Amino acid sequence: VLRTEDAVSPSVSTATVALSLGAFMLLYTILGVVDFVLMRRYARVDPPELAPDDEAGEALQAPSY
Amino acid sequence: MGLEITWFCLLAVLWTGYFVLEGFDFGVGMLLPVLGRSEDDRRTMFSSIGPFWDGNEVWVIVAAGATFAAFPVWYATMFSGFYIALLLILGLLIVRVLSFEWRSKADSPRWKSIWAWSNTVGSVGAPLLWGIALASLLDGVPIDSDQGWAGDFGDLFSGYTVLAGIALCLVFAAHGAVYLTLRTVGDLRARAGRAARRLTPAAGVVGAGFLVWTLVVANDSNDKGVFPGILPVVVAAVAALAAIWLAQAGRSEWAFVATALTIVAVVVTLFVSLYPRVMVSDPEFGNSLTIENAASGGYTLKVMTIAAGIFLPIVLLYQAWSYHVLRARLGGTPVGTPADVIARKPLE
Repeated sequence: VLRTEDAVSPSVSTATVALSLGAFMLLYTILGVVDFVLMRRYARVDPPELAPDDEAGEALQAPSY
Repeated sequence: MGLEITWFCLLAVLWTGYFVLEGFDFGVGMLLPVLGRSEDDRRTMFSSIGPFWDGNEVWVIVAAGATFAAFPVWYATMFSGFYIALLLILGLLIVRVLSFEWRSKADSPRWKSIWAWSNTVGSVGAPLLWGIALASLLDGVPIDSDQGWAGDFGDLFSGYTVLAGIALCLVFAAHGAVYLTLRTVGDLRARAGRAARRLTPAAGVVGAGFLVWTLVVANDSNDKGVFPGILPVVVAAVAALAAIWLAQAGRSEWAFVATALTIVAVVVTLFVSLYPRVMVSDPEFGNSLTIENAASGGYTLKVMTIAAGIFLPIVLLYQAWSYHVLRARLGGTPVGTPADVIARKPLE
């Protein structure tokens, strides 16, 4: 059996692991809040009306950044 | 023996794929504050790499996964030793990814500026750290007699490794400028061409310094002669000179081939200089990890080789196809962003 304590990196200190865990928790918490705000904003807008002809509808599908 | 060499070479292929492909999208990100003068310019620059950056980035994930499976000892020691560096790279890449996803989701100039800069910071920081980390494999890092990491974050840094990071950034900036001349029109394309004419010689000079220093380090730290490392260095030099000349002549297609070939030769130089070791130990050279003492068992390597033989060509085919489908130049008529859609802005 390979125990967790046998598989741990001896050179990575507890403080370093705590730092990385804290950094990811902070980063993802911020991302979660921003994402929620963005989704709420988009969810509140009614869907766009269907374009009368196909051309305008297709133009929307082009990737834009 | 045998399949270890195959996987050492395949790792060089994977890192090459990563640097050739993600190299230009890093380069475009670095040039955002320089070439992206208007919102339209910046949007065009984002759109030129928007559909590709994630496919490009998968190459490094496969490289890490292949290291894990083929050379578990190398993976364990490298990922323990590079813990902080990899944490920083991950952070930079995450923040950079957000810029592609979020920049177009709101209209305020401050919001757009934050995400353009986050892309640039990630595009400079990630290759800088990759260069430092990969060069330190050759430069030598402390490894104990149990093949474990015996150093700290500071052991990654030396004059040589920092130059590697800077050289990588400059080469990618030149590669990205040439890429933009292929994918844009009008004023932006002209400015990208000027940037390419200036960046290719700068990258050539710093890159040449890095390659010569690599030969010296391989000789001093890794018990290697000048031969065969000199062969890919010569290829890199010829390709870089061709890239400089072709960029001045405005022959974008061939200039891009030349910058890509330069990057291939740089990665090959690093791997040839490492062979047969994968992680050089300093000061105890005898503790170095080699392709034999760090490799998986024969059965694992055999299964991996069959899987790679089937899937690598498929990946190459669909990635090439995606580039072919999305080959059109950008910057003509702007198309609607998500923010335009919710603002009910009519399409032009």
